[in-house]
Amino acid sequence: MIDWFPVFLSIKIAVVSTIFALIFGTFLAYVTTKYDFKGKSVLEALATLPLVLPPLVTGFLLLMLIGRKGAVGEFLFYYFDFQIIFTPYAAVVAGTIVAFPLMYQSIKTAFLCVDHKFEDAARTLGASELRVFLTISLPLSVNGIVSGTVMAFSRALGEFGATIMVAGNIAGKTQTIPLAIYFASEANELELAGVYVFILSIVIFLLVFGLGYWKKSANKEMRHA
Amino acid sequence: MLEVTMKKKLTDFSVDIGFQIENEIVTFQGDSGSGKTTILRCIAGLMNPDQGMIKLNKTTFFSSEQKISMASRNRRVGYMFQDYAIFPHMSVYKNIWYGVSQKTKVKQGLYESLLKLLEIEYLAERDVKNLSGGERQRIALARVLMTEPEVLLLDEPFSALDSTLRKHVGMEFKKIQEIWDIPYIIVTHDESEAKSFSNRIFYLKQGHFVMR
Repeated sequence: MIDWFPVFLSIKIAVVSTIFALIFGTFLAYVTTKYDFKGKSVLEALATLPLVLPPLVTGFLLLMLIGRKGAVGEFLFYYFDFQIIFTPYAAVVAGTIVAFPLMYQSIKTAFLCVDHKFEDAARTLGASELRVFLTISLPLSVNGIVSGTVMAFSRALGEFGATIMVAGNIAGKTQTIPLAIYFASEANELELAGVYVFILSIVIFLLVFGLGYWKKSANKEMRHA
Repeated sequence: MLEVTMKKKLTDFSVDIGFQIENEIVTFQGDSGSGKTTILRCIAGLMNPDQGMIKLNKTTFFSSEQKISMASRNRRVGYMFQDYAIFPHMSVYKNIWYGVSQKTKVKQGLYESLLKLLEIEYLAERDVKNLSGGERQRIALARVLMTEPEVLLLDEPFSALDSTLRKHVGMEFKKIQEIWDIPYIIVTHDESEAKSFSNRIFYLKQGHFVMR
């Protein structure tokens, strides 16, 4: 009988990570497409870094930050008596960071593709910048936002390297599907590992397939518009 | 009265113009790239001149001297874009009501009379898909007029229409101007239409008004 805990934990962590990545990704994409400021290129490079850095390196850097001796870790422990390292919260932090670049890039591209005439028309019709964003820019970017969300979720669901560095592999507490696969294979429990591999692959396949299908029908709608 | 004096450097030349418009229809005519749209965008507040002053009645929209630049949303400038900019993700109804912050009885009355005047009652419940150029234009015009603008800017309003429709729409503008007695600026590159319904025509060449 397989242990379903890693499956539900992985999904929970991926959902929460995706929500955070969506909020921060949308915010940063809005700021970088709308404003020019000093250090923008540095910020954009930093936002893309987790995509190209080996997850283990991301995990190590994160460990330096949220570990007991890290600036954030020490702050949380000192003021809130809370240790984030080796908890599912640390897995959420890792998931958010590795998922973030995919979300950010996708939403940024979508924002850049919105025809400015619609935003300008809304402005001349009396809309505030917030209303322009909520009623024009955001709905017209929905394709990119959905793509980013699906890719970010898939990435967070499969996250291994950074997660093991900061959340460890505590069965029943922080063990996610990828960790369960790795340790089951290590212990030569190939059947168990295979079941987890199957579950993870099916979930990600369905998401990516669903995205493709949705995009196709959305494009069909647009062509009729 | 709309008063504009402005200078704006573009890539190849500078727009340098000054004019005053009463409650009348004025046409700016010129080749594409002569600075027509730049002038409209500056009046609407989507772009700032480098130098100058834009004033509608007693309200200063822009003044480089006094460092005033009113936000576009507060100017009450009706701007109909070249290809109408009908919001593709909203229904016809939502498009027309977009610029109205509060649905009052007065606005509802205005809405009904606009649909009737522009002969688009049959479009009210429609989606924006599969609309003709003429239908899009009328919806864009209704959307702008619902905000009860104090000046109306129309950028190439004829470009998507065939010649019979052009004449009809020209007459319609005249009719609308009689109801909404405000300054109208129409930008076009086609002379024949402009003449039939404009009070005055300004010819624009490389950012300057020229005599014909």
